[in-house]
Amino acid sequence: MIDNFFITIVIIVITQSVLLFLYHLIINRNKKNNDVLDEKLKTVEAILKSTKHDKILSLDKIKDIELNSQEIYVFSKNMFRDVRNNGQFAKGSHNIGTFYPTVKANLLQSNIQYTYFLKKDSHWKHFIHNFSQSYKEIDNINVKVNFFMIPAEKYFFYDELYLYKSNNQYIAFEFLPSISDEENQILYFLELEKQQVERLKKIKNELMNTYSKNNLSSLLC
Amino acid sequence: MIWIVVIISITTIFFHILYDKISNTNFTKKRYLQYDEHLNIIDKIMNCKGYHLILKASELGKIENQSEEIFVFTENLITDIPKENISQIEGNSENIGLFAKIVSTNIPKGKKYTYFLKDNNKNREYVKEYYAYHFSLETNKEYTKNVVFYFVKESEFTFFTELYLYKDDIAHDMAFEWLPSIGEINNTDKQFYLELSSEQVENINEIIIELKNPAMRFNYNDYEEIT
Repeated sequence: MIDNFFITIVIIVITQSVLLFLYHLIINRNKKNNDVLDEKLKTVEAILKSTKHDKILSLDKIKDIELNSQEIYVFSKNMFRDVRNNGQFAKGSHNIGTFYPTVKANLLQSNIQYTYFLKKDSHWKHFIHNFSQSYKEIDNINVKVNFFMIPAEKYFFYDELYLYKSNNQYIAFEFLPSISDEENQILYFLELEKQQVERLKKIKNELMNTYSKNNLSSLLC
Repeated sequence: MIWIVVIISITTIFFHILYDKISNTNFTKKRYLQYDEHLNIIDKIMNCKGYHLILKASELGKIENQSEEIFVFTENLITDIPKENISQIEGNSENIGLFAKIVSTNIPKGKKYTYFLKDNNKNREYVKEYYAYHFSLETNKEYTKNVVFYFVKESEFTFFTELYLYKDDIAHDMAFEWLPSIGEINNTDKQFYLELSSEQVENINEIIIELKNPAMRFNYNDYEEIT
C-alpha cells in the first residue's frame, strides 16, 4: 500500500515536471517573441524620436495647404504635376496631374494667384502648351497665372519647391522624390525651416525682379 | 491511480495558466501575430517614407571619407572650418566645423574638393580661414590644386540648404542635402541629411557644369596673392 502510494506520488511529480517543463518552454518562446517585438518597437521609437517626422508631409496634406493658400509659387522644371494627363504622356507618367484637381479648383476661385518659375530650356513651349490645354475651359485663367522663364544656364533648382502664402504667412515645401513611391502616388514633401522659407522668399523676389513676368497668352504667342 | 495523476496535473496546469492570465505575463501567439501585423505596417510606412535614406552627420562623414571627389554647395563654408578658426559666425551655428576634421583628413589623401559659395565678403573671408587652417601644414601644400572655390552671384545662388555631391571611381554619384527642419537646433549630433534621387543627382551634375565659371574660380594661388 505504502509502495503504491509512493509510486503514485513519484509519477505525479514526474508528470507535472514534464508538463510544466513543456508549458514553460512555450511561454519562454513567446517571451522571446516578446523581446523581438520590444526590440522592433524600440527601433521605431528611436527613429521617430530622432527626427521631427511631422515635418514630412503626405500629398493629401500638401493639397489641403494649397487649397487654403492665396498665393502659390511653384519652382518646377516642367509643371508635370499641375497639368492634366490626357494621354499624351506614356511611360513614367504616374506623376502627371497629381495636383491638377487642386490647381483647377484654385484657378476657379478669383482670389488665388499662381506663379510658376520655369526653366527656359528646349521643352518649355511644350510645357506651356500642356498647361494651356489642361485649363482651356477656364476663361479667366490668364489673369491668375504668372510665369517667370529662367534661362536654362541660370536655373539652379535641383528639385521641385512650393511656396505658399496664406494670411500673410509663408510656408514652403520641397518634394522628396527619393523617399516617395511615385508609381503608387505615395508622395512626400518636407516642410522647410523658417530660415529656409525666408531664403526661398528672397530667391523668389530676386527672380521676379530679374526676369520679366509673363501670362499664358503672351507665352503661347 | 492514473486518474489521480491526470486530475492533479490538469489542475496544476490550469492554475499556472490562470496565474499567467491574471498577471499578464503570457504573450500568446495570437497576440504576437496581431502585434507583428501592426509592426509590419509601420515598417512598410517607414521604409516607404525612406527613413533609411536619412543619415546622421557621422554617417555622411563616412561616405565623404570613401569619396574621391566632393562637391559642396554652401551658404557659408562654416561646416568645413573648426569653430576656433572662424573669426565671425553668421546664421546657423549647429553645424560649425562639423566636417572640418574629415576635410583635413581627406586633403592629404589627394581627395578633390570643389565648393560653390555665395559671392560675398563674408565668404571670401571664410575661404581665407579655410586655406589658413587646412593648408597650414607644409605637407598639405602639394594638394592645394585639389581644392577649388567658385563664387556664385548672390542673386543666382538658389540653393536653400547645404548640398553635397560625392563621386568615386567605383560607385555611382551620391548627393545629400541637409535637413535642418527635422534636426535639432544647436545640436550637432542631431543633424540629418537626405540622400537625393538619381534624377536630382543628374540635375546637380548639370548645375555643376553651368556653375564652373572660370571667371568666378578662386584657388590657392589667388589666396596667396591676397595674403
